[in-house]
Amino acid sequence: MTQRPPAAVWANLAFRLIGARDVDAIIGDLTEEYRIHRRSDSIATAGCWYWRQVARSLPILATMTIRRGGWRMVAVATVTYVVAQVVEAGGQAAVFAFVPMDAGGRAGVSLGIGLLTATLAGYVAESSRSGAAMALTAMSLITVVMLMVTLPDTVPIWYQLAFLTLGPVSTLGGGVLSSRRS
Amino acid sequence: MPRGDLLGSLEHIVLLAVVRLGPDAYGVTVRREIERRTGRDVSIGAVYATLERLETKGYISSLIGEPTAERGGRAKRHFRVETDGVRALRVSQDAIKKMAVGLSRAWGTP
Repeated sequence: MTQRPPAAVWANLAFRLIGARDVDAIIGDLTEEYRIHRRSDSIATAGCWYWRQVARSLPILATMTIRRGGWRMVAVATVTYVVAQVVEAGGQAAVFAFVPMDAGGRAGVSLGIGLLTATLAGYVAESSRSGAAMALTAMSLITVVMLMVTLPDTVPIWYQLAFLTLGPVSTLGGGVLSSRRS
Repeated sequence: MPRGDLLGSLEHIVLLAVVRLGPDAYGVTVRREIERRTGRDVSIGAVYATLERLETKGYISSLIGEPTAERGGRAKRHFRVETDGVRALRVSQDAIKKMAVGLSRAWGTP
């Protein structure tokens, strides 16, 4: 019988992404109570209880982050995001102006420039304000998901999935690099 | 506590839970105590947000315990009520009592 909440790592990441305080204590509490539920409930019922707790807690804790001064973190992330978009578009335009290539090549180069920009943006955001790389990652994820839903046919699916998975990793990686340096 | 600064309803309930639980007050016990006594299914996020507000106001203090295996190797954050917290509870309880005086007939209580 498994005693670990299903996909708990995502709950941990979600709480960290919104800049919640006491993430370890909250995850520990949820794990402890999930185990209490598992004594009498099935994995599905206990898992539902766990994820309902996570879903109800996220907006409340995000509000606390903003009240705590997290709006500065969000502002830094927003400015960095806009600048990164400009840098990314400029970089792509410059490369495509000088190096002719087919659609597949363009998508590959766009992905490379995009991920490099995401890493740099994560680094710069985290250097400016602690936690800003997390907020930037959340913004990027939301944007990618929105683009995938609203404009699904404009770029190949592999390109969309690569951005969905590697984009957040790059941004967070930049943030981690900055944290380690300081 | 500043004059007129009464506790919010969830602050009041969470603070009472922390007083009731004494040294065993942490996220799980506070949440379950509220659920057991009031039937209110509060989220762990709401409990922590309220505890954070109470701590900022100086009504409670907290300390991190030791990590345990049953919690996936994560430590508990224990909470303790402070003198200002007890005072805030008294003021709020008094205000509610005063506001409720003579109302038992209005809401049908014998």
